[in-house]
Parts: sequence; C-alpha cells; structure tokens
Amino acid sequence: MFKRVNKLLIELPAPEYGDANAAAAVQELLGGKFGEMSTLNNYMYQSFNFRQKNKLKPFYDLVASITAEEFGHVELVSNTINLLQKGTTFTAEPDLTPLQNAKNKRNTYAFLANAQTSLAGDSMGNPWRGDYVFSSGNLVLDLMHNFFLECGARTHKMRVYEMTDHPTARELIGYLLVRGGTHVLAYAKAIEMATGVDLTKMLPVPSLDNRVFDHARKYEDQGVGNVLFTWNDAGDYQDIRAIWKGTNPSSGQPLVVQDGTPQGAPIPELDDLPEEFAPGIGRDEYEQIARRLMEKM
Amino acid sequence: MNGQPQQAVQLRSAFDPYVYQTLMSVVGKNIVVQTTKNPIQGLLSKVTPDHIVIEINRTPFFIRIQEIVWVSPS
Repeated sequence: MFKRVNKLLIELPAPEYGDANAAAAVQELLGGKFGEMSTLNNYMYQSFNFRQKNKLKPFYDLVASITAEEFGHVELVSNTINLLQKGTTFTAEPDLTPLQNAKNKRNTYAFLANAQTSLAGDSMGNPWRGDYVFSSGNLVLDLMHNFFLECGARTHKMRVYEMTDHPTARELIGYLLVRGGTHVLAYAKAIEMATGVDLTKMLPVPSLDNRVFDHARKYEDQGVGNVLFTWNDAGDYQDIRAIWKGTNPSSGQPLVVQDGTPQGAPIPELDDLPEEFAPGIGRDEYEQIARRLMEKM
Repeated sequence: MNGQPQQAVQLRSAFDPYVYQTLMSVVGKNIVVQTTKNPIQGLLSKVTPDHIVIEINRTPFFIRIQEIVWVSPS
C-alpha cells in the first residue's frame, strides 16, 4: 500500500515570472523515456514483480523503497512545470484573445488540454509509455537496467539545466542531480553485492561532478546525496542497510540509511486562471458550494 | 584607438512621446502590457521616458518602453 504525505520534497522558489518553453523542456524530466515517470514505474513494477522477495530481501527493499521516492520526484517535477507556466497569458474576455501568446509556445497541450499545468508526456508532447518499463525478472539484468536508466536520467537533467536558467527549474534539477546520483550509486552497490563487480569506479557518468552545477552544490554540501530513506514508518524496507553502507566515493562521507521520509516543504498554491476557466468557480458559486459543504456536518 | 584620435560619440535613444503620455494617464491602474517576450499583467506603479514599472504581487518588473508592443487596461 502507499501512504501519501501532503508535502513536497524541497521548497521550490516561485517567482512572479515563468517561462513556458522552459516548462516544455522540463516535461522531458517528467514524462520522457528517462523521466521520473519512467523511474517510478520501472521500480514500482519491478517491486511488484520481484521473485523470491524473502530470499533477496535487501534488493527488494531497495527497489521498493526507491519507488516511493520516485513518486515524490514525479510530484516535484509536476509542481515545477506548473510554476514555470506563469505569465504567458493574461486575464481578459475571450474576444480579446487572452491566450494569444500560447500559439508561439512549444507545448500547446499545456494551454489546450490542461490549464497550463503538467502533462504525462515528454518535451515534444509525446505521451509517456508503458513500454518504457523494463521488468525482466532477472535480478542482475533489472539492476543493470536501473543503473543505466539513472545515468541516462542524469544526462537529461544536465542538459535541461543547460537549456534554462529559470530559478524554479534550476532548484529542481540541482536537487534531482544529487538524488539521482544517490540512486546511481545505490544500484551500482546493489550490482556489486549481486555480482562482485564494482561499478562505482566508472562513476560519475557523464564524468563531471554534481558540484559543477551551482544549484546542486548546496545539496551536496548538506550531504543530501549520502542518505537513503526507507519511506516507511513501520520498520519495513530496513534491509537496504545491507547494500547502502560504506562511504560515498565522490565525497568520502559515510552512507546513511534513515527511517521514514525527509521533512519536506509546503506544496505551492496555484492561482486561478479565468482565461482558462480554471478552476471555474466564481464568488457566487463558491458561496453556494460552501453552504452545501457545511450543511448537516 | 589604433593610434587614431578618438571621435566624440553622440548617444541617441528613441523616444515615444505619445506612448509615454498615454502611459502617464493610467499610473496606479491595472494594465496588461504585451512585450516582445511575454505579456505582463499588474499594477502600473511608475512611468519614466524610457521604462515603466509594473508590480505583480508587489514584485516590481522594470520594462523598457522600446520592448512594449501594446498596452490595454485590465
């Protein structure tokens, strides 16, 4: 089962200006082949499909617990896209063409299908696909796939970082580079436990340190990359400790397993968008709704 | 430069006197400004000969008049 916490993993800056084309680029980190929906669904299905969970518990615990973190990453990237959409349209009557600027933005679905929010698709508008999920059932093969997936995801993050300097996008990517690096290392160590082959020697891939990125350095300094959470408060998934131990090869700092979840930050509030009829509840309707909701409570 | 005597440089800037005058008449009002980049909707707090200041949630945006395409009350 999944239990939901109404928090965002980190606090996202929300300036009064956006960049809709940057939002389109960030979509790749959500619904692209190497986006967070892919990491989420890969680990989720692999954890569902895992054979001999008891015998190979540390590996099961690893894939299962990281699934929960990836859910939080999907939430974080979606919120970033929503904040980035600010400031492309204006509020006016339909005849004044308030969405006129949307014609020249990359992602028209964001304005047509959605009210300027995140889509379950990539930076070119392609929908996220179920065949991005690899769940062969062979433990080593699945772990190698996950290692490759995280390295590919890291590459995409670095490139989107190079495409936009919007503060919300950069805060997101700085954090994800650090957490993605943690997952690369986690799968490398799992492969080492399973096979004896030390993949950590080839890290990082691509071969530049997270510290090259201004917005990642803060999280590296805080040691955010040294911690794996269990994402559980009832003592489950503890056996990731058998894999997540020793030191971080990039910093030399000890690796830590922490029970539960990170503290988190508030979920950003989104303004209404009358030109998109969203949420489409005016003052009068709101008063009627409030009356009905409060009735006979 | 290159051993040549430096010539005096004359600085020129374009000025839209009627745009300026019209903008002055809506100071303190909510307007939409379509710039060459994005529209900005908010309170017009200041007008100078070459830029205006629009406030969105009390955050000021300084906009060059030369980058304005159109302005409309909102």
